[in-house]
Amino acid sequence: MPARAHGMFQTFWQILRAPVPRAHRTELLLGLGIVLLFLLQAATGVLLALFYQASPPTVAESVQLIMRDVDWGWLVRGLHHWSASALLLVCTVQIAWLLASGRYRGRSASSWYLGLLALGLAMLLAYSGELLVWDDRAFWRITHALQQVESAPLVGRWLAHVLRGGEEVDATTLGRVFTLHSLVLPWVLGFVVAGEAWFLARRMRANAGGVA
Amino acid sequence: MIVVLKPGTSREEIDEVVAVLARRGVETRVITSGGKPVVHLISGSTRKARKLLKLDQVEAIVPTSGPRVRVEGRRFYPYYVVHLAATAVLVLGALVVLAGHFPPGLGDPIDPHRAPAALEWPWYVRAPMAFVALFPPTAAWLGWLCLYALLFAMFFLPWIDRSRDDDPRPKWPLVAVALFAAGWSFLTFAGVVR
Repeated sequence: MPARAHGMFQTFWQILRAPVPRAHRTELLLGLGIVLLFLLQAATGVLLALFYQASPPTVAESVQLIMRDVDWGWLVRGLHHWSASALLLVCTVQIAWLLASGRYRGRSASSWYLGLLALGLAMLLAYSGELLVWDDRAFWRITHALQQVESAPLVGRWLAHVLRGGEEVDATTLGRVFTLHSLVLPWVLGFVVAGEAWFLARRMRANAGGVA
Repeated sequence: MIVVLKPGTSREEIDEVVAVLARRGVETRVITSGGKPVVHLISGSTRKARKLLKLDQVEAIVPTSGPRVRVEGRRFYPYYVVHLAATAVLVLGALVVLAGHFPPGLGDPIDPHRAPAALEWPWYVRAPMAFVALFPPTAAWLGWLCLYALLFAMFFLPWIDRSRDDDPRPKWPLVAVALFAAGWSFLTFAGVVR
């Protein structure tokens, strides 16, 4: 550690050099996997948003532009698509591991709640992303999904109306799905992932440094 | 084996450690050494006593015979950073191969007047949809109710199971995960979605 490094860098260095208690090894690796895949999603998502146009007449054209004319566009879109599935898979494995190892209780409960939230958000992100191509399959998927939402008691009709932006699935719906996918859900997931990391770091710190 | 407690540990907290050990069949006596309260393990399983490091009050566990064994684990840097970087490169490579060989496509233009005969669902929603399809159409609400109940139970699990971190790990979650994974995989790959 250079002598002139101060403040935040010193803290960061201390975190990097801290021993990882064996009890938290798997949780840490799964958490880091989620963070890395989330960052990959964010980076490729920003690149895609530079060329994507959320308007029904031009969606197909912009997607074809990304796949054919933009340099490495096919790779960026492919990475965005497959890393979404990978993120979902890692979130699922994390929940299964937390349950199997009994880490849903006591001081680990925060990981359980945030893990469940992350899984739900990753699923919503993946699903809303599939709709953005706005082809026949996406149109009928969102129509069917909104019918399911509508059938939910109490708030179903109102929620479906808000998501659809009216009575029918049209350009407004696409705009709302795009806003959810690119502006709302990523930030919420980012905060949830950051919260998971913070709680894990706190537990690791409380458990570090023992000898036996 | 001696359990060294953190300075300033209250009498109640010491009693709590002693009670945890007693529950695990370990006989103890509490003494003071160098100004720090320590719990001397007289008899019982020392393997179980090692789990005490999870407790907030416990600073260290020192064996009274044999070498001191460090259990603090490897440092994040460089050990985990190197392994993580290698894993990240491998995963990224796999994603690039998938992106190249199975690129996400673009389907047919929208026809709002004619729904497709069979709607293709993403892999992560196939299992719940196939589960609901197991019920007759008139009782589909029962399928949704079961799914909501499962979600509800998962969310409130820490309230349902009020045991502590250091209590022995129950066996049922392992069985539940195995059964759930098997059922979910079956429904995803072989389930029929209406």
